[in-house]
Amino acid sequence: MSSKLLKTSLAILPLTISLNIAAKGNDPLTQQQWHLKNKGQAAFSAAGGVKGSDLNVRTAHKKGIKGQGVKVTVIDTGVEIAHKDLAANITSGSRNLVDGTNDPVDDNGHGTAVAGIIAAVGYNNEGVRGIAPSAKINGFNFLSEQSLTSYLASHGESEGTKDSNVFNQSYGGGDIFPRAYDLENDLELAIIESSMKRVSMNNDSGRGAAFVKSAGNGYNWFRYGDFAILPGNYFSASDDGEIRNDGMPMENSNAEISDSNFWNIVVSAFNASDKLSSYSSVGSNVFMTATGGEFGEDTPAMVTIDLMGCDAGFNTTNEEATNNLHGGTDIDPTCDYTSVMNGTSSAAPSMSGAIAMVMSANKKITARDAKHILAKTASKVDKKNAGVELPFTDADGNEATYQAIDGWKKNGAGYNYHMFYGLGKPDVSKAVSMAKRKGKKQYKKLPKLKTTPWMNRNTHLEIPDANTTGATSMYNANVHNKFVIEGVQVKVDIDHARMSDLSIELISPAGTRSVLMTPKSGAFLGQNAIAVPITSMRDQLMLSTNFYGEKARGNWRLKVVDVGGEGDGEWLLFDLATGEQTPMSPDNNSEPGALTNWSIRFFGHQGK
Amino acid sequence: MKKITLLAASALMSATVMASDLPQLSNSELATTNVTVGSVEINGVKFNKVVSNSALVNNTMMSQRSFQPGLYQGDLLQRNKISAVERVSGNLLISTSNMSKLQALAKAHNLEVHSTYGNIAILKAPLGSELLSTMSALRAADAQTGTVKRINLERISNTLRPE
Repeated sequence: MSSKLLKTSLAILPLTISLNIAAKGNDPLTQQQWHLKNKGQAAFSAAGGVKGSDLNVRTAHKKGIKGQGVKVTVIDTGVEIAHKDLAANITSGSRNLVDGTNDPVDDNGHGTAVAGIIAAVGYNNEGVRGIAPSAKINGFNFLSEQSLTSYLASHGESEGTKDSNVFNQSYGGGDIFPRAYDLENDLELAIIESSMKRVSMNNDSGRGAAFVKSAGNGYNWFRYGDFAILPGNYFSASDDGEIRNDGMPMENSNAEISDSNFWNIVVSAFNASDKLSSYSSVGSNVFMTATGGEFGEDTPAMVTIDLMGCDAGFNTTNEEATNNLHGGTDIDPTCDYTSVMNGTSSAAPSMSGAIAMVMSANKKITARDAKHILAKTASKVDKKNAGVELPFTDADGNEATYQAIDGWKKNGAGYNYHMFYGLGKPDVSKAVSMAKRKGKKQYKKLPKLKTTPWMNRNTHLEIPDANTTGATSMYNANVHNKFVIEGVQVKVDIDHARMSDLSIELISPAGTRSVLMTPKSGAFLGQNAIAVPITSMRDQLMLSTNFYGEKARGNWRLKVVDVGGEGDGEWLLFDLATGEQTPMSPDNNSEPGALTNWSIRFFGHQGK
Repeated sequence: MKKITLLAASALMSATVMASDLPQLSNSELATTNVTVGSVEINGVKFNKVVSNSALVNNTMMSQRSFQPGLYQGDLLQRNKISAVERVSGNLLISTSNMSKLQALAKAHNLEVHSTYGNIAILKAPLGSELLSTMSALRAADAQTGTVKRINLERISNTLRPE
């Protein structure tokens, strides 16, 4: 049997489904887009997921809300603006940051797939449908030209983006060194922060804009330059009956300074089986989770547009297909669609599409209101997830445990929260309904956003080694008694010779605990990987969305716990060029660490 | 994100190793492996000057210039052997207490004001100018008025990737 025939036969089932739908005059592949409505379909993979593990979009579409009037900027590898299932939604303002033209050529396919998740044209009898299928899109190939000026042009500081309502950033870069949040000396960071604040608040004549950012794909490992950062048992865990990294995330999304920025809405990924996507980075900065899927072979990835033609993008005839869509099958003979797009790169545009839908439903609300409505109407993913209990060797050499990641818990304002999923997943139809309400139940816009000054606590507290008692410092935040939290940032100064042992917790006046930095992450592993080890972090910035809706006034406690003893802490530096593995097994700290300073500030509003 | 079987590593590991989703560097990424050719200090921080292997082999003008003292647009820098390689853009980021004085200073030193954000300006140096000297000259010229608070050289790391 020729490979072409094999591919065709594999496609029989979805082809049958698609022809039935096409007869109704709809987009033929949309029935496989589980993220819009999950009925357990396989999405061209071997097996389907769980009914209802989706964004609940269909009802809103049926009511006529499709993202019309909202503009989304895709900042990525570029966007194929002439794609047959996207072109009708392309608006002005795109730019090629390499050659200066208005065509943000996408040589990769990633940015085009992202754009399709947001706003592939709907109801046109072609391929797929975006979450906001009538939203307008422009694009930038920023990942091909990552200078500061390119950043600014693509993130709101250009003519073509001054009326954008959503900026989708499905990109990131892991870090393994402490980095100070020091706007006096880090002028690039200062410019970016200042610009993001202005664009968030003032874009589109005051409607503002939402910056949506992927959390990262680093739960199991993450890339740093030409290296992969791995737990020590990455290759042996399965044979040894162990769990990689004791179940803890290698990449905590709070470690990337741009992701601990309040202006970014950081999104983790869940899959079609209503669980955290196997790769998704997590952290207390995750605002919500959205659809990212798995790899599209055994279980569903996302079904979206691909670079047109069978010689470019994810879907080509150059390699054997691992799913029922790719490879020039009868259902997509010109390879214009893909079913292997995944990552938090897919979760971010899922959130961007959701925001576009809510902003489309009510032209009077701001991007910040849309974010708030999505939070208020969010629903849980993976309801029974209990978090992660970390085993470690305590200072006396005994086996001990520490609850490093909590399961779902209600915060002091009644919002459910889980570090994996933030406030939950978007329920687009419910959110659109809330935005559209009229009369007495009409949605009331949020009061003006306020930011408190940094409040500082200078201290010197010893952090006992391998002991859950930790060091606790308290600060009484004397802010307005009606100040309602939308985000909390903390900067910490800590001296410690093995920072991967540390768990950094923040506890609110209402008693809510947020783990700002999980132990056993790779966030600071670089401290011991260079000739002169780094023994301290200064002004390390972390964000928590865990306290959303709580009151800011009162006593806040920062607790730093060392949960790594002798024998804990083994990593691998994996050279992606040579395959060489360099073990990193920093000795346990011989001296107790110290918490020497911390600061806190709040973003939010006064009122209910 | 794409699931890719780890081939490069498989030969180095035991038979028990599972296929993983670690990527391999692309040919274009491998072509940019670097060689240290010197060092330079910016604002008190030491960097290695590096040249890509391919530029060295092809003896490009850029690789020839990288052996010279100083710092120019296009030079490649690396802080330590595992950190990312950064390209010098030729832009200076300067914070100031007086933007109009800074703009006059920039003009006097043949620097183009690209844009300003609050008290920070992005200035573009002329192609081919030695940037450490430019920084020193700006500080010297500003010594009396003291309006310049901080000068950073933009370094582009290209570490952001689709995820």
